[in-house]
Amino acid sequence: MSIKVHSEPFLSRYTDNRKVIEINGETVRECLNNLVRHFPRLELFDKNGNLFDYYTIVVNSRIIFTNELDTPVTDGDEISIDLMIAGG
Amino acid sequence: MGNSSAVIIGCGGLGGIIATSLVRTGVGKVKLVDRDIVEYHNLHRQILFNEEDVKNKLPKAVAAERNLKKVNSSVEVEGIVADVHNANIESMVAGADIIMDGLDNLETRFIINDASLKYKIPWVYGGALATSGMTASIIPGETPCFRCIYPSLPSHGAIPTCDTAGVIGPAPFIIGSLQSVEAIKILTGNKDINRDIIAVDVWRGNFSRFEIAYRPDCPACQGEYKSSQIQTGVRTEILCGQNSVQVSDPGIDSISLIKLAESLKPLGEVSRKRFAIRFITDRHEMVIFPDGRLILKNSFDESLAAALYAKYIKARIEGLNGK
Repeated sequence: MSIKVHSEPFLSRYTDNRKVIEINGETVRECLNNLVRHFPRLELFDKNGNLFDYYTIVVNSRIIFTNELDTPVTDGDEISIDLMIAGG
Repeated sequence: MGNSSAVIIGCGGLGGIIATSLVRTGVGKVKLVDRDIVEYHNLHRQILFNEEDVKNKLPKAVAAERNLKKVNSSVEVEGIVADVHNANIESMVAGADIIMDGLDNLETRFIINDASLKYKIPWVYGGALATSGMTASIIPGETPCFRCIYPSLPSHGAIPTCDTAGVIGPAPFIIGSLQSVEAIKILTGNKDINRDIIAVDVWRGNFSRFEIAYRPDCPACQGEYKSSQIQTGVRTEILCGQNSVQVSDPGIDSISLIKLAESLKPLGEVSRKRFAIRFITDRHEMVIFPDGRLILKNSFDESLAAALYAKYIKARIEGLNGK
């Protein structure tokens, strides 16, 4: 499946300044893993493979929880990666 | 609106916009809580303050109160110079109809989230960083909470801060404005509140909405308030975008600045203002507030700040307070 992944503006420094990336995968987790393989500086998972809590993963405008990462995706789905924002 | 009460925690970029908006709108009582003093590098995005406030070294809560009282004299504006923590959050939000987030750190947001759910007071989260920002309205019993979105505090240094990423002025302007709209809706009983995260990239002009769901294992939604586990002893914290470290001790409520200044005089250069003492010794510049907090200027060294606090301040405060 070909999925569009949108990265939060601050994270695009780790994705060669690309804000939208086409990536392949059958599930959300597979897409994110493939993304990290392409852009190793983008650290989404800890050494045990768990998604860091300070990211929010949005699939088609709905935030999903970490236990939903194995949700299948289909052509045309969009994933956004957002980052916890603490400043003010 | 005139009978309602708002507490704004944090009076920087976001808090300044929110306070300006709510005071001009005519919210009956606006309480402003902030721990910091006004500095030049605040002025690009913190609209409540001016160069005179910097020269006078005013605490932000004091300067904000002064400036806002000139805007709308019918509003009861109260500035409180304090660090919000889990020992004083109850008194800070008591009587408020809404809690507005003008903060620069996550720890206090987790504390606010728990207080909001515990005392059933809505709060409006806002955050701004670099060219981005986001906001969400948390209504106890009606919407998922902040912990549903972010279940735990990230480790120190895991996410970018104002220090590492900066903040462009219009980011908090936009987010603070969106937060203010939510406050007006909530305070007037309008049901058309925002139930999503609204994320904004001001640089690209993008607005996005994300649906939030209840997290089934969210402790806060089940009445378990884990923010009480956030460090309550002497704690240090790098202040966002300030090149400063704060040391606070919730065990100390208040101190006599006059007496403390006298006891510090033999040890270095001491200047006392109404709201704080500036103490310089061995090239370390510190500001000490009436609630016992210390800010070490021009440093990111938390260990040094804690050591200076222990060496020069803590024992003296306890001695003066008769502990």
